Amino acid sequence: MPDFTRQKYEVLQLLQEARALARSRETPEVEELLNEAIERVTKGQLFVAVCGEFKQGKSSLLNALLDELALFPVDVDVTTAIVTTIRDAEKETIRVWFEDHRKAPMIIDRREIAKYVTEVANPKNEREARLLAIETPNQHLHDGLVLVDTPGVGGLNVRHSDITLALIPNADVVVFVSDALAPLSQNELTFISESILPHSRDIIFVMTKIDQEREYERVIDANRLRLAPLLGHDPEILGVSSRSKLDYLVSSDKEDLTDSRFPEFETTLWRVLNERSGHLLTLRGLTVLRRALGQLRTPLQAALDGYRSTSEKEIDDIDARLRGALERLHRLEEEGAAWRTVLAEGLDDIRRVVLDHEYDAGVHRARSRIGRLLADERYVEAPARLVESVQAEVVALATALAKSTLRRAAILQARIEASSSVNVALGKMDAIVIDVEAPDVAGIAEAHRGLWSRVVDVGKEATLSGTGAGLFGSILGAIVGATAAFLTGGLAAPAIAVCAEIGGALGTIAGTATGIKRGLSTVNNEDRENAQRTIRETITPFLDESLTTCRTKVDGSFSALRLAMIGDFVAKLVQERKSLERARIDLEGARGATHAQALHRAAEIQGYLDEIAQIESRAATLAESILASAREPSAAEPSSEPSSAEYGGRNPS
Amino acid sequence: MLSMEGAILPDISLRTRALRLIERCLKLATANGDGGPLYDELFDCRERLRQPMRVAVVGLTNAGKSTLLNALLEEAIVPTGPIENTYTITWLRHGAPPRMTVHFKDGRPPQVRDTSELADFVGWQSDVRALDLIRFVEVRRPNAILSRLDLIDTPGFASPLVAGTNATLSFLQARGNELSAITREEAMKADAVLYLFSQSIHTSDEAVIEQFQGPASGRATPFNSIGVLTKADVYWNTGVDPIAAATRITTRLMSHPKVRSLLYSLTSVCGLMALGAATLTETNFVTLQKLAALTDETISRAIRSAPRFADRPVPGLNATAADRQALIESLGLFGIWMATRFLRNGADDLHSLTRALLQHSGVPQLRELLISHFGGRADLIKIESALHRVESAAFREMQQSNEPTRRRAERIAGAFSAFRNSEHGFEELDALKSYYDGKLVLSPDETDDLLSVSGERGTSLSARLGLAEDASRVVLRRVAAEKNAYWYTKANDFAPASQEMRLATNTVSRTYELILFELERTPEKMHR
Repeated sequence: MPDFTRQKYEVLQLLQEARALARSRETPEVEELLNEAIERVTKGQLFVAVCGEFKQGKSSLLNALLDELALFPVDVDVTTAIVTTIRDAEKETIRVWFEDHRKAPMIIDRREIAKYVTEVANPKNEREARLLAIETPNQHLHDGLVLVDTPGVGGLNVRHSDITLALIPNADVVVFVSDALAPLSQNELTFISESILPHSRDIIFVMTKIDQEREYERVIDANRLRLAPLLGHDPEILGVSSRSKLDYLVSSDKEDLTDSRFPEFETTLWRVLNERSGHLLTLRGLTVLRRALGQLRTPLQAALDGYRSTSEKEIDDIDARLRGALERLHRLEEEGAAWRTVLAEGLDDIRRVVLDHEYDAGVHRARSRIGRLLADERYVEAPARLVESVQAEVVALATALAKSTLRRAAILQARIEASSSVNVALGKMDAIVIDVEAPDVAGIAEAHRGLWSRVVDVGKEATLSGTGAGLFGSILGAIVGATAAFLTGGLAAPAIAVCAEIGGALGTIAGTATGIKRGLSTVNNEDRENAQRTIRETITPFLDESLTTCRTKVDGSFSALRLAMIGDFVAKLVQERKSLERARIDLEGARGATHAQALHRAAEIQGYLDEIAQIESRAATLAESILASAREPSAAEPSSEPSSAEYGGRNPS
Repeated sequence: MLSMEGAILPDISLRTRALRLIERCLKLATANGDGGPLYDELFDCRERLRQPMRVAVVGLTNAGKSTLLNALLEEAIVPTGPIENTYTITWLRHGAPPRMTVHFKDGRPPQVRDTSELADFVGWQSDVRALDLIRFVEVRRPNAILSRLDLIDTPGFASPLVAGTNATLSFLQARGNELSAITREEAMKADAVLYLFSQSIHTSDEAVIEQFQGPASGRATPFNSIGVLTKADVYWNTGVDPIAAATRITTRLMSHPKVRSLLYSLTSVCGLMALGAATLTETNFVTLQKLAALTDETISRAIRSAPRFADRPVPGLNATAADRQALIESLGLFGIWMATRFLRNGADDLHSLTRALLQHSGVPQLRELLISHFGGRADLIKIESALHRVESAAFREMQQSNEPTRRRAERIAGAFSAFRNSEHGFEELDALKSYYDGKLVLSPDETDDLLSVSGERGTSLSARLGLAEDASRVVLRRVAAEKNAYWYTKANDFAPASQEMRLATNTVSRTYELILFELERTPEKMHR
């Protein structure tokens, strides 16, 4: 079992135990919080982008990976360039989305897939399909794996390059597929170095069709030799045989499975996924668990203190503190609360940093990079590549700005929560917190404090956006014109707000790009100087216009982001308030209890508290091991070439 | 079989007449003792006309150029392998004894080497710096196809945009770009071009078309270019007949107007299987016989995977690992499978197996096509391009102020244009060009007539009339008369919308007339 699957199972186990406790304590609001967390962990998605030149090889690879003999039609002839997503569901539903945003998606049968993805049945994509979304019960997808099959690299797939370009920087892992019939071509190397490496270092290189070439190891060596200078290290390349895996499905012969090398491929896939983002999903589950446990503990601790008190006066004191805390919460919920100003000002600061500093730096990079390409005479023969490069730059900038905005917003939110926390010392009840992310929680050993702040740090990136890739789902949704929540598993509202705008921007830019490509295709490149000037005069305004669109849309997303963050914070305040109100009711129970009753109740409450502490300590151990198996969440390490991905990844402090 | 060339000029061939014309003009050009560009052009044209047709084999890297070349020659001359391996241009010409001459860029005298050293001069495992100094390698072999055509193996076109920092790689990249330039130049100079592509058809037809028209498009017209889908055997999977699959692809591509305007025809081959068949040894044959004796299930299972077949014993097969590896290397999986089929169906010796495999590979058919299309029309195609070049050189010279030079150029240009006008074949070429450029509006039947009568489907009289080779004289005459009448009416009654239509319909009508004339003129027995 992959680490991720095991850890996810354990997190779910803890969440369910806590939910049982919440149920027995009759605290529906805590139960609801835990239900949500369970759903998010269960449905949390990991996006794997499958790229490569040969559609045929990719379709077979996906079939083989999913143990499906013929889900994706494999045809010797070319297939239509259409983005396909596959994820797990209880029952199979396959939807086709169309170019025309107003046209509703159509539900089709799996036998009809060929009608949309093969050139024979759908020549030149005359059906105008834009995206094929497959949901199907499949054990390989149980853990939230979403496979996204992208149209081939290079080529002239004008209409779909926007989706591919938006996807790659945001995928959790990119699987690059080539085959053993030929070493990586220069087309492929160019795609890797220009479209993948600036945005993601999490690439798994898979070489299919090893059954076709006896000396496939030589092809692997040749590919390593070609990739090493691009990557700066000697990459691992996995040779696989989809055919042998599919043979195995029929023959059940272990030899076929071994020859296919798919078990190795899956292990690698999960290892990289876990390192990259799997841990974010599980850690996020654990932080919600801690918050829920805190909300369960507050009333119990109040009641315990009440039963252990020696006088009414002591109970009055505790109640007074609870009332004080409640009053603060009420004030926080009010319209004029200071945090609203802090939030508004904080977002203004973020807007300045992102839109002035980061945007300007991004514009500078994009311009100098495109400028270099424009000066390169060889591009005269491939002006469409320039258009794609502009798109790639702008998409990278837009998503980097979105990520940075969300990351900064998450940190701002954490700060506001920490500074507003009702942290009143109540005798032995030494902490009432509204923010689970504050480190001083009773019952957690000192050593664990550092641990949880690391968990929180690591998880910050994911607080608003699910996983790093969670963004992609809604960008994709926005591009196909679906509701923003399309494909996303429990994406937080602030992320949706930002992604919808970005998706819109990318759609607009893609539309312009199509026209520009068409225009440039007629440029006569005989007279190179003239051609170069014409190309420059077309590309430069396109770049400027696209950058402006990108800025306008990111700017436009801030008001929706503010409303979403306010809603989010107020919801948390309400939960905390309910927890405190319950604490007052429980405390009332302690008044007038006989000594024997008090002893009995105290022991009972202590039992609950022990159970909470026990779950908490197991959570800490688990968090420790998840952190150990994870890599720090990093955007692409900057390559020698300054890349657009650099704008992300920095904390403002 | 009777050809139109014979019909129009019974005594001497078009080529000889063209050569005589050039000789005459060469004398004219040197009358005043000076040479000049026009003289050079004429001299060059004469040399080209005297030499066999030059066919350049071009395509992206790993398109299977070297393998197909070897298969056409039926001998493994140029090195091949799973990694792209051709970093030098190899010019294969007819000659005995076999020898190899290395030509350098820096003006050094050419070096004669043993042909066994070829791999050292074209592959990149060899000293990469030395590669840089080579302009091309000339190989002479006493090979039948080379007596009809020169074949030029070229390195794959490098993509114009590559990233690479490693020293060897950047060297190879620079070399690749340079080679692309040289290859382009060679393709421009070649009389005909074979465009190869493997299954690396990307995601769209446009990408394939780009391959044809991209880097080597210099002078490509449907007259001098043939597209070849190589490596058809890789489609062999889940029971698909790879040849049929490949044909489906080429047929669809050929229905694309853009492709039709670029290629004379598009065909598919299994280069590896053909080469393996042509070079099959007695040992290979024995191993194949043993394999064919096993059950189908055992055979299919054994050849599901190349590494498996090479590295693991096949149950019931008494063959060494070396035997099995040799088979995989020479025939490939599909070739082995087909060999067992043919052995089961009566191919009982090495020779008949070789023949059956070759026939199935599509390579002999391609060779036929090359020789009949390029070989048969070679003179017309070459003379046409020679006329163009001389005429434009003469035109340039006519702009000069020097009176004698101008007069001389005028006379040469006049002689050439008279020659052009006297030769009906050139009018046919013009009509075809208009068709391929999409300037003619014709019904499917008319298109058929145009293509047949102008020799696109063979240059015999019956082929030109769209009839079987054994059609009787009576039928030939009847059809020629009918078609002549039809086209004559079309050319005269119908007021054509364009100059091109008028010229083309007249040409077609005139060709039928010439055929009729030929049928009347020649003795009965020659037509049978």
